[in-house]
Amino acid sequence: MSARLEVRDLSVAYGASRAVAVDKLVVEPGTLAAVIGANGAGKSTLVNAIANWSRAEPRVEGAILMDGENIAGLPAHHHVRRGLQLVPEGRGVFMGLTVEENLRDGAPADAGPGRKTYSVQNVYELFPRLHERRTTQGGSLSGGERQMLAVGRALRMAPKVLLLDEPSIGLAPRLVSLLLQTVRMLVDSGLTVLLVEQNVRAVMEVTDVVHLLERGKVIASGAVEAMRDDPRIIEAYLGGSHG
Amino acid sequence: MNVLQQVVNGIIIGHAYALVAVGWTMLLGAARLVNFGHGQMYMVGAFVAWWFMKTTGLPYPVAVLAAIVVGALIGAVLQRLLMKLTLARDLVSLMIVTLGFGQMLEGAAGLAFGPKPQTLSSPFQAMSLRFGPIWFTVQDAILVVATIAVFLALRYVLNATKFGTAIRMVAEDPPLTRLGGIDVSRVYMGIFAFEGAAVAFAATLVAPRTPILTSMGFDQVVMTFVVVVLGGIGSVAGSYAAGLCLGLFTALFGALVSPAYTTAAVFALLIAVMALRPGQLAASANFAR
Repeated sequence: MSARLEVRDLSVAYGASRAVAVDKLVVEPGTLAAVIGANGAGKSTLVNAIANWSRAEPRVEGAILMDGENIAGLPAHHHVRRGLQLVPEGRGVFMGLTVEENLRDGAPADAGPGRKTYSVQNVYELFPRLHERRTTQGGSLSGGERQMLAVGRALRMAPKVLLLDEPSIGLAPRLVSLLLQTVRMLVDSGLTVLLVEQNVRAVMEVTDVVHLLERGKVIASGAVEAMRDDPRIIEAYLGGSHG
Repeated sequence: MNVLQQVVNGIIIGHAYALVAVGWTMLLGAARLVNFGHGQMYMVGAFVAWWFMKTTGLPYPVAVLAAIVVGALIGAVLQRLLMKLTLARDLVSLMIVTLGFGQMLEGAAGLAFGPKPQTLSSPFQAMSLRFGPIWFTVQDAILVVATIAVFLALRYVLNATKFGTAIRMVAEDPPLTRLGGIDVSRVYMGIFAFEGAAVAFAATLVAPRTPILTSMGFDQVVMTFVVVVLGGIGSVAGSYAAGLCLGLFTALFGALVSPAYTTAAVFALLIAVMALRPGQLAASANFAR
């Protein structure tokens, strides 16, 4: 059986400078894989390239396989329709639309095999805070509420694979762990997630697999248990204090 | 002079301004795009209806439908031609290219329809209604009712339908819209087709009031621009109000001061408004309200 998501020989360049060169990255179905790395290591560039989405105009080459089928080069909205869903870093909701309007239109109920559909009600159950704020415009939400809404919007598309780009950015520690716990719950119910995070300590609590990205290359990959003891990670990200 | 009659005239002209401008309001509000060929699309709408009635002998309402279809097609074709510029929202290039597109339409219309003034004859133009001191035609009444209907329908579509939500999403953030599984270029095409259809519809309702000329497009684009700017760029309700105010202003100014200086006065008003509230020229995120 093929992996849920497989990246092969992916290269992303902005103008003349190459930002990402990943030979291979595999995400198995129903698992949570995290990409960690320093600022500017190319984490966002990597997940954006997988979704074939960007606010800039990068040059992307390589193969992106979902369930064995190469979907590289398809427009971003086609990826979404096939169940490969990105939650971008930063601006992931519409400021001029209410919470309810942000969530209103989703994938059809019969999105396809292996795709769980989430109704607006399901999203509210997952994030009760959004239900309280349902008539509020996106622009008036707090950072945490916006992230919840961005994830909620993504779930409405009935994703098979969710690419989450820095969901914890700018959030209070309590919200970070709440959000990541929710992501873990989604994975336990069958969703496949590739998570980009700078908050390595928080990621280690929830992820199954860790990929360490440095200067656009994956320099180490493995199960979280093993990676926890990797000296490169301990030194650079866990401050050596991990017991 | 009859002030009440001038107010009625102003309301009618105002609705004409608003209806002619509604397509551009959408274009600007939703897509942040401009189309300086708008006036020539108005002219083509009127001439298509005229030509259709002349060659087929079918009644006016059918010609209105034909003009709407042709208008929508012209809008869609324009969007295809400008695809790259629209996706990049390159406003300066769009201004120049659409200005050129308008000139091409004008030239083509001149060749196809000839240089002579024509009359788009609506049977409703000859029917008049009189209430005491005021007087207007059934065509005027249809124009006012149709304009209100178009604005209400637009408001409903933008706020309560899937396509309307997509338009508001594109207005705010086209890349993010893609992540909702929406084909952004299709949304743009819908907006352009609406613009073309709306301006053609406006032309068929407004043009029977006066003779039509293939060179009449530019005046329309000028007035439309004023309405859209006064309405707070791209605001749907704002452009309705602006059209109405502008209509009242031109009617009363024409009656009380001098019809010869109306256009100049409109521009003085525009300059005053732009000078007093320049911040409003930035497109608003809430254009649908």
